[in-house]
Amino acid sequence: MRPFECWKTAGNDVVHETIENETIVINLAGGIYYSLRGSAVTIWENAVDGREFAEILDAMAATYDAPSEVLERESRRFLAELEAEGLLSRNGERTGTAPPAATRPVSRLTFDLPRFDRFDDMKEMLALDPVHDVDAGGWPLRADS
Amino acid sequence: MTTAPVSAIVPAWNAEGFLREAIVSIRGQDPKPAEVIVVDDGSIDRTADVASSFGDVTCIPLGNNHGPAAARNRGIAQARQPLLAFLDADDLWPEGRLRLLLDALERDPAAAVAMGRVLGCSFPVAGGRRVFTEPAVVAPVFGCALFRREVFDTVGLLDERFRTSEDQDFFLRMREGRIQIAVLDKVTLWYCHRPGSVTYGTNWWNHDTFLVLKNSVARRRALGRVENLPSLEESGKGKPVPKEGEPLEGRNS
Repeated sequence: MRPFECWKTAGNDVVHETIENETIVINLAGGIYYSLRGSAVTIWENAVDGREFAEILDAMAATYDAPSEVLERESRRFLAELEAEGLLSRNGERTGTAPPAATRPVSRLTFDLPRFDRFDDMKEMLALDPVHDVDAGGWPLRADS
Repeated sequence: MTTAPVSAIVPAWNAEGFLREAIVSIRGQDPKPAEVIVVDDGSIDRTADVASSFGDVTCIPLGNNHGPAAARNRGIAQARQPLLAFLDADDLWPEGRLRLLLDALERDPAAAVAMGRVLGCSFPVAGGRRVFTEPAVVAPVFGCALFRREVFDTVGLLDERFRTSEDQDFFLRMREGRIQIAVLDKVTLWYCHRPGSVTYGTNWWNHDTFLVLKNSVARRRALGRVENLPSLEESGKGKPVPKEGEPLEGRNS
């Protein structure tokens, strides 16, 4: 049986939310955040939903007007970039649900190369993490307190 | 004790158990602020009574609960002094913090804001305060800073759409506008952690956090500047203090 070609977010330090066709990803460990738009959002959302590469390509083909070999090449490149950036990691199992039935738009969108913008100017916000990031048990006690 | 031309603004929501200590930490500063304004953000406890028990504290009732951004904005509208400082009702100013920040603005006339470090600590004080974030951190939190009033004329008020992360949003807008900030290596806020506070038992990020970052990136894109902002320490260095009414790049519309 062939291995699944799937991804997942690279640990609990990677958090993300998609708002109005833009995905903001925060890597808490490094204090870096990213903005993804257009085809990058399509790839990201299908990847973190645990879908296989073939399903990601189906979603791309249903959405964007571009030759399949271009969509495959650019999707692979972008997923590799996200892995290299420490945002996604390979997953040995398919955890995603079946993608929605293909509803090919009457006219597909112009394909934009998937990419992200990367920012590291909010590290001081992360520095406050010990103040905010607590569970119901409250903060850990300092050893000498 | 002398008085400084500072309005101290305290947003308070169901704060009867800790507001007194916060106000005492303000009134204990030397010099002390010329006025203290408590904005009662729709409390259903005795918050207003606690505030009113101080004869020289102005208490503004908001009626319903509108969130800390709206409460601070109401305080800013009410404030009559040229310098504005803030303290959440469950946090504390350490002794001497106002003098440190006043001196910083006096030394650095181009700086529109002075801020120090934030020290996280437990609540209540009884039995000794326990400190958990050491060293203290430089963080975009209103309570650690002292603002020249014109900052709010140029950057705008706090965005009341945010219930949390409103301080991060404002500090991002200051940096987008290259507002000059004097950053001190001294603790100017004790950020107290207590059950029931807005951020207790939660991660520091939530929907508002993502939206704040998205909005900041969008403003930078609109200016053709998709790049990192200068750090708090580097923000606005070499640029004069914005004049009142002067349009700023990155201003929140």
